[in-house]
Amino acid sequence: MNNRIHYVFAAALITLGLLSGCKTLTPVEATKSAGDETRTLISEHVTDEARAKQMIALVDQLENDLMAYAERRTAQNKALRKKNADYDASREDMQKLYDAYDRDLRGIAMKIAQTHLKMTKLATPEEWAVISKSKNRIGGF
Amino acid sequence: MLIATITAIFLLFGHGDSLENYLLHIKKPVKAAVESKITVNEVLYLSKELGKQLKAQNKEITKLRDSFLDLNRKYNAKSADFEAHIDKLITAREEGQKHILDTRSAMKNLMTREEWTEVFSLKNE
Repeated sequence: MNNRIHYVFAAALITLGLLSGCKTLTPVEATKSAGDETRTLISEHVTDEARAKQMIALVDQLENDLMAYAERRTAQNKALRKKNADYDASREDMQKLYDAYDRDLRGIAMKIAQTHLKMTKLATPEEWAVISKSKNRIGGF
Repeated sequence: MLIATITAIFLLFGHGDSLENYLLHIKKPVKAAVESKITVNEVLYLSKELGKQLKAQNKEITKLRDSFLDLNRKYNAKSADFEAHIDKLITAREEGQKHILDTRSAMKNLMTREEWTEVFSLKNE
């Protein structure tokens, strides 16, 4: 019980630190941190080992997809700034880049949704209630 | 976890590296590169107006994010529910992009090729 209290207290302090701007996480760091937290929650609350294993595999896959997306996003921002600096770049040129980035964003958002649906198929309502409640707390960053 | 990441993804709309952030923090390079004080003021006014528009847009995105969080908590959420939310988020993003491109066009109309190149080469340094 004491350990749990310490854990919650430490997590609250970290969240406060993040919200107050002590440290800004990069998208890759935020994804890794959130992935670690979710894996811990699954290990703690999903008692069936086979289901827990499948859920953790889904988290691993999503984490990889999100990290790859974060890198693409950095490159997309760079390309957009470069195009903007070109005086001859037309509005249509800029729009084409935005359209491509939005398609990528939609793709990753759908992957997140699909992962959610697969996870809820594996978890019981009670397990999901615990895991999703915790997401609230870390959703602040 | 999923919430944290999607929050990060969608709210990174105004991230430090983004184009809109460049257009919003343009004062120093514009003052350095643009000769006419009238043009400087007009460009900075456009930048300020863009800031107001994006602030309103971000409020909308925050609301959509919050409802997405509610959806994510639901054990019985359906694929169609997610798709509808994602559509709304993308639409809000597209509206923001329209403001950004409108502002870029208006700024470009005010500056010469040389001024434009210098402003954004200073910003890209």
